[in-house]
Parts: sequence; structure tokens; C-alpha cells
Amino acid sequence: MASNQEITYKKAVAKKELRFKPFRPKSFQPLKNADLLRDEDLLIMENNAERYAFILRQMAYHHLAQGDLDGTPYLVSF
Amino acid sequence: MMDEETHSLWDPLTGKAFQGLMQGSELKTWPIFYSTTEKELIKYPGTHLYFSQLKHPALWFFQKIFKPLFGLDSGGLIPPHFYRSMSAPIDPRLPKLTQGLGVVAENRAKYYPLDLIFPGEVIQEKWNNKTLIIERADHNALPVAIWKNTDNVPMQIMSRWYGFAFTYPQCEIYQDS
Repeated sequence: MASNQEITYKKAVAKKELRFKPFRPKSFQPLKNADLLRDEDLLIMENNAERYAFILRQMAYHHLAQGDLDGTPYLVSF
Repeated sequence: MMDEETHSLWDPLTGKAFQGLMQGSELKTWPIFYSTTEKELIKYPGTHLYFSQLKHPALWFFQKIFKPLFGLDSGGLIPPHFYRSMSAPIDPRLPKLTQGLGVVAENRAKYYPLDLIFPGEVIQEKWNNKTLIIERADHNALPVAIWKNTDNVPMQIMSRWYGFAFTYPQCEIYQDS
């Protein structure tokens, strides 16, 4: 995962012509309330003592997730 | 990865631009951890979930085939055209689809093959003036590297060998003593 305030990260893509649609998360929900399998594989990122999960099988398609946390842009790649 | 703004090429592991207008630039990077719903909630009940709502046949297809073909426990399957897209030969020191934990810190990069990280055992190594600990709770758990006596973790990534060695060609390889 990489972050830099000086880069327009909303424009970062895997390729110029996208084969996979990046995930643009806008909101989250409590993991404990989600209807997921107990052994669902997750990718976890941590920021300011908060943890955020992405579903691995979904990231296998998206390859990229881009958003921001408290105004700081981030990019998760898989 | 390529950014659309300058068409520079970026290494997603290091956060460095290695080709194009932004070559030489480096972004801050963080480790990403693997877990499962159950294991995550035991230790971190407040974790948030980002759930993709995309309705697309390809997403559905990937969700079906991912675990058996590409999952962390699978032997791995990488299409041949993917290797041909790499700009350097694959490091032959390990089988290319070996699964393992790569740790990058203190100006070192080291790869720990998953089959040498035994569940319940602890790998402890000196990294300059720090002590690195690698633990794997059980067979279904993935390893985690942490600096001893701290809550701090070094940059680490679960990766197939070909990818880690491509990014860190001079990396060390852990060998069970």
C-alpha cells in the first residue's frame, strides 16, 4: 500500500486500458455484522489503530482498491 | 502499476517509481496482513469491512475460482503470458510459485518460505540491533513478523517467490538450521 499527498492517486490505474475495475470503497460496515464465512480470507490494513478489511476473493478481481482515510489517499494492490 | 497522470511505472511492493516522469519518487508504504473473518474478530472485534458491491460476471467468476486455483494454500497458477510480461528472468534459487513471507527492513530483504515456518514455533533472528520474531499460530494461520518486545511490525508481505525475488533480487532466503 502506498500513499502520498502530492500524487493524484484517484488517477492511478493498473494499465491505461483497464482490464479489471478498481474497487473504490466509499463506506465501510462493521466486520462483525457482515454475513461472511468464518474462513473467508481477508486483507487487513491498519491506520491510526483502526483496522480495515477487504475480501481477498474480491481483491483478486479488482487488483486495486483506492480510497482515503481521514483525508489521506491510499492504494491497496493485490 | 502505471499511473494515469504521468504514465510512470510504480512498484507496488516498494512504492517506488522505476520508469517514467516520476522515476525516483517513493511513496510511503505499509504492510498488509492476511486473516480470516473468525481470526480477525477474535482479536479485533472493531475491524471495519469494505465490501465491493460491483455486479460483474468477472467478479463473480474470480470469487468462484480464486481460492482453489490461486489461494494461499493452493499450488498457485500463473498464466504463462504473465511471466513473459516480466522484465527479468525469475530467480531460480527457489521454485517460482513457492509461497512465503517477505520481510523488508533495516536495509535488508529476506524471504521465509512458508513450509519452513512451522506452526507453533518461533523464528527469532537478529536484524542489526533489533530482534525479529516470526510466528505462525497454526497450520491454517499465516505467519506474522514483529519486532521483539514491541507492537511494531516491519514491512512484510505474503508473496510467491517469483514476485518477491523480482522486486528484491538480492534478497536473503531463510533456511531452517
